[in-house]
Amino acid sequence: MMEQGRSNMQNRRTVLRGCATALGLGCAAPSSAGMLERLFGAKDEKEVIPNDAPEALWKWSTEALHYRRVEGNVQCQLCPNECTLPPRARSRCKVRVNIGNKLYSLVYGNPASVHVDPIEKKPLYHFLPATPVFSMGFAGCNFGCLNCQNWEISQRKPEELNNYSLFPDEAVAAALKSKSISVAYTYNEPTVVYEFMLETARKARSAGLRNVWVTNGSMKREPLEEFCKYLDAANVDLKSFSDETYHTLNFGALQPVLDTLLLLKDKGVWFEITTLIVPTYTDDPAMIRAMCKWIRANLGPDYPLHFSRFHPEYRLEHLPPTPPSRLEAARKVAIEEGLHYVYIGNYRTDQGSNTCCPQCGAVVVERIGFTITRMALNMGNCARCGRRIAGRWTV
Amino acid sequence: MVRLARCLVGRYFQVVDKGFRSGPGRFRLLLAVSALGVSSVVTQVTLTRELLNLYQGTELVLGIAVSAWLLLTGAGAWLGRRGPASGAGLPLALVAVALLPFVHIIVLRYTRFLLAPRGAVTDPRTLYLVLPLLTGPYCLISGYLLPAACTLLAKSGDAREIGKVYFADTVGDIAGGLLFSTVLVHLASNLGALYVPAALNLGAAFLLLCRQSRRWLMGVPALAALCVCVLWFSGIDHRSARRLFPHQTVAAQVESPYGRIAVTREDEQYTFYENGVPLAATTDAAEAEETVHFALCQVPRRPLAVLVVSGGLGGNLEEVLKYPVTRVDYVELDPAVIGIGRRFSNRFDDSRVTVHTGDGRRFVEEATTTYDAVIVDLPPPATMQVNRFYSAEFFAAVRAVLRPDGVVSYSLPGAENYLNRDLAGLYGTVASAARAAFSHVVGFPAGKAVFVAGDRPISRAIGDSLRLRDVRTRYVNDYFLSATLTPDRLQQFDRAVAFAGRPNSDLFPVAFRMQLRYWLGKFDHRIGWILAALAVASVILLLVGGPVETAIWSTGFVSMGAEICVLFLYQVLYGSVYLRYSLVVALFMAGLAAGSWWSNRRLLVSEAPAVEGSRILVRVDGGIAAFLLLSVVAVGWTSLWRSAAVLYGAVAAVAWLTGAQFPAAGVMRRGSGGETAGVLYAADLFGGAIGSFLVTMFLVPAVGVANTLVALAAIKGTAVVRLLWRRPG
Repeated sequence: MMEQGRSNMQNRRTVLRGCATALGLGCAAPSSAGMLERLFGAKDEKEVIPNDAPEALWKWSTEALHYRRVEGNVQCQLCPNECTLPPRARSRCKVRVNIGNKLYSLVYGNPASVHVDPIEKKPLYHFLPATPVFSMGFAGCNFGCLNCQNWEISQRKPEELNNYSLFPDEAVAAALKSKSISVAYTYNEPTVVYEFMLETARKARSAGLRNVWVTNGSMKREPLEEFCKYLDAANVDLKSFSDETYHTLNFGALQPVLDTLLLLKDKGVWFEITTLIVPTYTDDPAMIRAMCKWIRANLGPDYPLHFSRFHPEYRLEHLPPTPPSRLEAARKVAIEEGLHYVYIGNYRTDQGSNTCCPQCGAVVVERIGFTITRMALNMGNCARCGRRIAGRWTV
Repeated sequence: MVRLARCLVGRYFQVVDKGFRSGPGRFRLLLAVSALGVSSVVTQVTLTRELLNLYQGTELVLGIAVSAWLLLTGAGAWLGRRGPASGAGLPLALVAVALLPFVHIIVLRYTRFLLAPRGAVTDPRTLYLVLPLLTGPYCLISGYLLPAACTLLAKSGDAREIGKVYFADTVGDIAGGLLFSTVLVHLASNLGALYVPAALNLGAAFLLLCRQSRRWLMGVPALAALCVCVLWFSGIDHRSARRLFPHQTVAAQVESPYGRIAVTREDEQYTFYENGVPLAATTDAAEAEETVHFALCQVPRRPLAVLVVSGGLGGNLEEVLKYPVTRVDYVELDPAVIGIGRRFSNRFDDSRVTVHTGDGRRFVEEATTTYDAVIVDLPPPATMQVNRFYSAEFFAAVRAVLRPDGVVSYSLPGAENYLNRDLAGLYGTVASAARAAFSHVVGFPAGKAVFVAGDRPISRAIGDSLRLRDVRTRYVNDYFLSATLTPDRLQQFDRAVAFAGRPNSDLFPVAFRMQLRYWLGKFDHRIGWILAALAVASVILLLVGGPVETAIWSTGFVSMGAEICVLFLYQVLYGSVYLRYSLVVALFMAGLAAGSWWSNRRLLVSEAPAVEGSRILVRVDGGIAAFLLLSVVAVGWTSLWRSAAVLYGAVAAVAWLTGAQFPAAGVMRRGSGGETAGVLYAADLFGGAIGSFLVTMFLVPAVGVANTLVALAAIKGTAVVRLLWRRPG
């Protein structure tokens, strides 16, 4: 009878597992490690990776321009992360390694993504409108945004991707061949490909091309000052106006981004700001108002601000898309705070994509999607009242 | 206080133990064991469903949850192998078994966004650690109980009574399975379903304690009953479920047999969720436009008949109705989706639309009308079930219901700027499957990747085509498409679609593997090393473990794998396995009972039970291996498997062979009854845990169902060789 008992124990087990299997297979189909950190003090996901440098450098490697040696390690001086790399370690952005007590970039001339886009897609609405821009994206990023729409490249090491081979001369030649007016460093965070970006920007400028930087704005002052010599325009993500949100959502920090905006203004680089309105994170009207006040007070009213609609993406899959009313509300707040050019992106609205003259209210640039349907500008001035519309309108 | 508590607990055990030995009544004991049986089945099903609701319902979560459950229950059995010091634990355990499932579900809900930032997917590596922690206590206790009770009863009374006790347990198991499948799933939420087993367990605890001389002991289950009542009236179910949408207003929430459907409201926007993932929002026209117009602007300009498979909440039907349609059939698996859609939108109200609830795949296979377009708008193939809508067999079935110039469209995750290897592989294998049925397959890189297949060339001049048809759209037009359908992006898609590798199929779900890899890539998580470690551990155990234990754990492994294959096959052919599941459970139980009865009978009449046990074990193991090999041959005969009798027969056969093995293994193993039971039970669960993970996550996706069955047969064959090697004489 004992054996009978054992066999019946088996019965229960089989029913249990059968139930679970069937339910899982049949019913539920159509559909951060933060706790670990809290519970066990686990490591931040964006940390220096020890012993992860490749065995040998490849042809797309170059010694980094901004770093220093600290007690047998090297410390990157490119972005505010200031990664300190022991021998053979890899930086948080996944593209810089310490080999032989020198810091190397592994992303010199190997973009993973190359496309020709309209400049409006960056988005830059006040910079050479309706012109094509030769756009390159690489592996790596110094942030770790939970909603990154290019995570397939930005959160990867260069060795893990299928890359093009496009050294600065070749990139400039390809841009010219594509009849682009500008070269954009975009898709991932281009700061991490600084050496390539700087050299290409220099050569592009010599070839008559403009340089566009689409960035999270986290670069240290010294390299940025150097880069600004060749930089024509930038779109800077101001992801929120809260350091805590920056930390939670982006693995970044607010102040360096504000510093970048101030520096770009000082250097006379045209820039536009993008804020993604992520429900429950960056849609607080009070925060948006504080951000707009800061922009108005420190940058002035003329740099465009784009409020972009969030869609569930990457790891942030459990949030709804931004309700259009929140985008409209954010735009209203920004206009109330005195900003002249406030747009809504990733969502089609009648007013949110047009440029209006801040003086007479006339529509000076009418857009649908990424297409300009009408322009009423006369050498960068409102065709109706003649008021100067901020931007870089002609080549 | 501590001393007082200790004193009270000690006294409790002392008194209960005394009462138990003096005999609380056989009937009461049998009732208690049956209540345990009901609880264990209902609790596992409910907890598993809750985990799937909370963590997106993927096969990976299921694999982790089931494996953790089996491992921990096995650990409990191992702990219980020497039996309890007294019988005092039974009523107390019943109280714990009644309360713990509530605690588990509530803790799971309240910790959902502690495990990940608000709105974020939980890293699967977190789940490996946290799921066992959050469901462990119940598993350990329920695993502990049976071998412990077995030993206890063997000590305190006639050993023949034990069989009756386990009969009661089996009755409880069956009752639990049937109760859930036929009643609770339709009437109760996950938390609500737990009140029934809780009431049974607490009632049983009362019965066991009511004959005690110290009636105050009944205060423990009474207190527990009070807690359950408080839970019932506290509205904790709704409140904890609303916690899953922090900072949002939950307009409605429904638990259907297929998942948890929720609607949130932010200003004018309603967002529909299934298992926590937004399905659609009422303000989101872009996705519906992409889903519909790339396909419908390919078909000739004439009155159209269109079949739409899912996606109605997102506004697909509104877009379809912009064309001159005469008939629109809309199929949705879950009636709750339709119900909630009707409540919060008017998207199903047009008289030209006929709504059908049921499996879309079956609908296509059984359709008698023909269509100009079939628009499939389902989630990506992250589960075996959804994979059936991206397979060569499905596209062949669609081809049969399409007019010669008709088209089918499907969507996969989009990647506008870079197509990584896994996603390119996913596009490729599904396109390859579609190409087996259609001459042309073309991809459109928009917000999501939309693919259109047909026998006529597919045009990418969408704007022109829409203008010709005078169809107005907000997003699918040249203003937007000029920046997404760029030559470089189209070339990238064309390269992926031209992939010449293995096409995705029902029984070789390559797309499921690719989608899983793509999804795990978000966490930079390589699951390969876990699978490799499990595979290596299995091989080592197979070769060096004790022959009897090897036979048992390999049976756990193989029977689990075979069950998954059978259920998988069932699902491929019949759609959701869910509603017929009670019959599957009943057959399983019948097969197990018959197998163990046969085995016991042989052992009872044998003069040398150990030799007979060995003989049975070898035959049964050989039988399992042979059955699996036969299944390999039969797996390609879909006409054979279409007979429900064959499928049910296969379920019963696996169960019979599995049931026959335990009694035989028991007589072959030295040691006390309880210890033997504990060790064998643990070995079996351990095998089941590894088997469930490896078969679901690796074997079926990587080598297909047929090769999986070969691998399982090889494992069983090795176990037979090990037994023969050991067998005396």
